[in-house]
Amino acid sequence: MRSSATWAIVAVVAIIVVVAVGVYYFYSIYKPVTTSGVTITYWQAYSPQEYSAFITKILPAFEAQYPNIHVDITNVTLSTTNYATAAAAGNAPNVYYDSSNDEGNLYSGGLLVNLKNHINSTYFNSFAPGPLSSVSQANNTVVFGLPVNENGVLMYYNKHFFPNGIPGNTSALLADLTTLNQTQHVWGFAYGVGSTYGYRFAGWLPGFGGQLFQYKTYGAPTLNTSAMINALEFWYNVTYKDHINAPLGSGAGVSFATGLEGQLFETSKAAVMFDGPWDLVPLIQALGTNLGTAPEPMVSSTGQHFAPLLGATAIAVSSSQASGATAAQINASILFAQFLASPQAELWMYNGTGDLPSNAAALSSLITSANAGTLLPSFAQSQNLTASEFSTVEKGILQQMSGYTSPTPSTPQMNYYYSGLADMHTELGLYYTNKTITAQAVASCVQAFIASNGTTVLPSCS
Amino acid sequence: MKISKYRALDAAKWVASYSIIAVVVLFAIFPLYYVVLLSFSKIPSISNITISSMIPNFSTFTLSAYQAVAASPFFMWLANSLILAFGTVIVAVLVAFIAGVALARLHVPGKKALIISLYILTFFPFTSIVIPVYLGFAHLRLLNNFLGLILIYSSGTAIFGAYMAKIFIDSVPKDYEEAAMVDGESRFRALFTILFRIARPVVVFLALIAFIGAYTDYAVINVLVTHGSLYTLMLGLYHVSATASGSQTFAVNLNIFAAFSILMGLPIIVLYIVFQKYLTQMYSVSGIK
Amino acid sequence: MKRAFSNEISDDNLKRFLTNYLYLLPIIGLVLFIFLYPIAYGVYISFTNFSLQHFFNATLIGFQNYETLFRTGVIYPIILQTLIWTVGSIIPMVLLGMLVATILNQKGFKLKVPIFTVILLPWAFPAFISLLIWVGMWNTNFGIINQFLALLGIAKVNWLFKTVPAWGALIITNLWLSFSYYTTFFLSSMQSVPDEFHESAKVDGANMFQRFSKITWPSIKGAVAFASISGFIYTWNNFYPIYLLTGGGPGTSTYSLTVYSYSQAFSFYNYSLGAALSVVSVIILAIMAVFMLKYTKVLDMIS
Repeated sequence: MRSSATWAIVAVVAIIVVVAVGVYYFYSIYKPVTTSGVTITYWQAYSPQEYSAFITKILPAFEAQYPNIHVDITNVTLSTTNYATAAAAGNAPNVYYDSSNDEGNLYSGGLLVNLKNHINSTYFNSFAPGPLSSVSQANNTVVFGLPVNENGVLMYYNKHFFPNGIPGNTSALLADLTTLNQTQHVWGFAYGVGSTYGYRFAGWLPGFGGQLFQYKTYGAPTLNTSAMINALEFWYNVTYKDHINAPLGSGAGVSFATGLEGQLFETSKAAVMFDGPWDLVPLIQALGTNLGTAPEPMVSSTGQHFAPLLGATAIAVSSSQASGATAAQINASILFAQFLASPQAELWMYNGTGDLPSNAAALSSLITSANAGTLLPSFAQSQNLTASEFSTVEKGILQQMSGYTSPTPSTPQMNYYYSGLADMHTELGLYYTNKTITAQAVASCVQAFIASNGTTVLPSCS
Repeated sequence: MKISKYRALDAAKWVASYSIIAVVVLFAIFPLYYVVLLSFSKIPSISNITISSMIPNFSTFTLSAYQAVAASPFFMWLANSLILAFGTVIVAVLVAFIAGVALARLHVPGKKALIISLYILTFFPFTSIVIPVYLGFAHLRLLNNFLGLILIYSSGTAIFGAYMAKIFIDSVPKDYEEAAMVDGESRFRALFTILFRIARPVVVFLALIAFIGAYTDYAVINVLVTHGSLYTLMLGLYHVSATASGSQTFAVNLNIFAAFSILMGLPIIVLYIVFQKYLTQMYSVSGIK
Repeated sequence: MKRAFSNEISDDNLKRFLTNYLYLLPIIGLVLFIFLYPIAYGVYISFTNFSLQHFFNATLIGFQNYETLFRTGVIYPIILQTLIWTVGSIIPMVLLGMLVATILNQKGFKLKVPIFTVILLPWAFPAFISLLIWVGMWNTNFGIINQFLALLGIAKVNWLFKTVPAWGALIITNLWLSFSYYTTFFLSSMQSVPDEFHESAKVDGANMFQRFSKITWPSIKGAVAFASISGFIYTWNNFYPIYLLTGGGPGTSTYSLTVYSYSQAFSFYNYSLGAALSVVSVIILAIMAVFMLKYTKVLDMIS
């Protein structure tokens, strides 16, 4: 009897606790806003360095300038899927931070506002053309986000393995890497051919005389081309015939669980990797003055450069259908987005993280300092680099960004290309490790998927 | 003569038994041994692992990975995970047990069809109903709310739990609660107080299943919770790993991931060890010796 | 006063009859609260063109999504793969669980408690994390599994990139994740067979296999059927092993219906097609489940 009474009491107490906790959270989160002015919600996925620059510099300055606008910040792990789910319930955040291509896709679904309808068009001239084009659609009558940086992939190398500097064309580079592989037993490249996704793969096409898509026509990418086949074969040979690229595996868990590319490079087990400026801080931390940067090489047989896509991370404003925002909230959101994309905010961000500005003026001031050898942002200073050492690193990055890039399209078709090729890692796997299908079949397969606008299921390539 | 043949057979049986068990134990423990070793090492990635790193070397043991975990909001995440897991245990066990009693003891016409229909409803994988769940919860203000999560987790295990409870209660002679009813307890009290006590092994089993479901969930909470203050260990682990440097090219160092995993797994392992004697009795009352 | 209808139901009986339903009310309420609306919605959107292109303006398009799946034939290999995944996983799990439980259940087996504790560990460790650990162990170049195989003189196996080894890796990983559960379940049901049965059989001169088939098996076969069927249903929908280990590859050769449905909805924002896939998946699973439950008489056991 006593024991059953105890059970009953435990159960009752437990239920009360659960209900109390539930009620507590209910009210703690859905507290009605009583402050005067406008509250807007912001989902961001900053890295720790970016978050620190945002919270210590940018946000206080914004709040000082606009005391009537209150920003409610939520940390999210970059997930366009979660954003879309929230939007389906009319529950999306007012302001959203994501890559330009994902936002282009969301815009086409009606989830984001066209900023051209809200901001004077001369304002947009302050951005560098590359980042601006990555957030524009329909012959620039649509701008769905304000870029806060510019992104592209470049070649990082370990200077320790290249005492005489790194060659600028593929035949000399591959020769060097083969020697390195044989004498020092390190991988030449750390590039995951099996887990590649469209963003990085697109960069190889121009080297073989191709283009991902016809610039300014904004149609579907064209991939059933000899450039695509040559690019596939290039990486097949480098990985499975010459064995100078580390074969890294596939599956969604690979990058999450192992981060092999970066770690092979950081631990000097690979001489070269391809990555963007967003990883500059950990790379400097790992390699210090041994970190070298250069544009991706020229393909010897064609005389053309590899040219990665130039894109951006951009601040977008949700449509009222997606977020339930009032006109006042949309206006406040636009002011906030403009503040985050201002030259001052971008330079603060650069100083803490190395994210390259999207503003033409801010960018050119960096280029000037880098050329003069006087560039030393605080993140580099804290790693004990000198201004001239760091300027050399940044010059390599800027050379890639301003010299050899392809514009990032922002049409919905791009998402089928990205997702298609990301899922296509499985198709690439068939090609790369088993060679059970031809490069031609992979190219046709990707093309067929993009051409269907994703309305058909992923075709089977084999 | 006959005896010695029997003995030889007996010895062969034991040799075979222990050899098989030795292989199974190695299979069970190796991946965990591997994680424990990594958590005490400085090994940052699988590219640094060799066979020789599988032999423990105490001179290179380091707690640096555990210190790195302690620098994250690990204990806040742990507290959230525990609130969620214990809440789920209470709701799931009560709901499943009450249903199990009804299935085993009470005359409820049509219960077979009813309970099979409910079971089939739960066949929809959560990954395919996540959007409508989100829509519904948004209207009910159950987003970013542990109550909603507890209900989802409980519904997942409740039907299976009811079946398990029913099978166990079937093995309990009816005399128990009838004796209690003769003693003047109400039918409800007799059913519950008496049966709940006798059915402790299956209750523990259901509690463990409910606990582990809530404690280790990623798919559901990733969609329904965005507030950092409500993060659980699972979201925390993902967050730490994915945003360690702001890019997917770099993941968190493997040794830190391993240390986080060990610390996160410890509470469940302790629960299993504490309750393991019940686990071998969960199937019927005659298993209790 | 006379009642117009059956005189078997007195007031008292009716009250009791209704109260008995009250006991099932919590579970009915809970399951309907969580599942009813989402499933109705899921079935509905499978008949629309809801996708990112038609996000706020989806319209009904009839059976078009289902037609796409069946006319292109893309779904047939996926169904077959789902069966390979489920049956291929469940058979070794049940067999290994049974073997280990039988060994541990022998009278006179020493160290039973510590060994059982160790065997419980894979079940007690968060599966999501275990899977990420296994991904690293299966890695072709750096994985510890290939390094061990190299010690035995076996060449590197491309575990996750070739169809047959990929299935092997998936099934072995899944076996590791689940065999503790089956061992526990079977051990627990074997312990419900009183020792005296074994003892008297031993005196009668029955050998080990005869004892198993005559005494142990009849008393545990219900448990085995129940565990296998509920395990079948669980494995059919088990998403993470495939998603994290192979992502459905190489090609589309290790996709299951659940993983494929997820990738349609969340990689391509093709929500309606993903919903159609899961409807098809549930219909197939429900037919099989009801058939299996009936055929094995588990239905009588659980209701």
